Amino acid sequence: MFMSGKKLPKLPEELEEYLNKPYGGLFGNTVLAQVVEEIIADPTMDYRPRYLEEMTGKRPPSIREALKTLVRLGLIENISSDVQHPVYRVVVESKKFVALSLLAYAVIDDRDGTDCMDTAIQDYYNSSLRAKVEPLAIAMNYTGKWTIGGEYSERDTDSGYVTFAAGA
Amino acid sequence: MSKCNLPTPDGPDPDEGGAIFLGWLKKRGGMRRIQDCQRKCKENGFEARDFINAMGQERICLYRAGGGDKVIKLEDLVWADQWMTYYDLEVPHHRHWTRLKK
Repeated sequence: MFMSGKKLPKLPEELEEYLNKPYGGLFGNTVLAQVVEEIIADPTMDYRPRYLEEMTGKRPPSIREALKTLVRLGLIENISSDVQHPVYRVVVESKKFVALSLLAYAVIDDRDGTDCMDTAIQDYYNSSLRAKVEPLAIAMNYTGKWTIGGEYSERDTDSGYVTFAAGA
Repeated sequence: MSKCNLPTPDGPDPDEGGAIFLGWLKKRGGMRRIQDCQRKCKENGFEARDFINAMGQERICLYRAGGGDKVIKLEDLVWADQWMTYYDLEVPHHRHWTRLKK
């Protein structure tokens, strides 16, 4: 059963300042920072200005200006051919996108003492960098299909994170 | 096994749409006002309250902020991380994105 309003626990006071400030307030609370945080948080979505207006509570001209800036900076692209109804998509090939994703995790880690950023870096390394950095490792990838070396996984008892690895 | 051949994580499966929501919440400080969460969940085709009930309040929970706003907070980051990795969503890149949009 969903908790009724009266029984809701109170959000710890020290967390409240993180509620409405993009990246924990690192870049202030500008429209641009709010739009950046929103789109980086879900790169799978196609964004329309109206949706961003609703999510940020900001007015159409300032959202339009922010989107124009982000297109110019190469973080998003307009995929609509209809000039009256633009639709934006995150350029996931952009290094800025990867860096901002990691920054979002770093904000939580510094606040809560967690390892979200490290987990994401490991995942990014395995999925995007490993083949370049360890050319031999591609022949013994960690999915186990062509493994010629030993594979293992281990669970960190403190954090509960499981690490998957493969060796030559 | 997931598309990246990882073992199935522990705990309830949020499905891909739910994992996208968890990723969104995590990258927004792990907590947002319920109105924002409801709007986001609607985009992914489910209800925020139903999702919390299904996943369990030890993993994702509703709070009340000082000003009276209801806030959804992600409690179990490890569980969320594991399912995001399972669905290839930690740091999606072009190949993953192409799959997600199919």
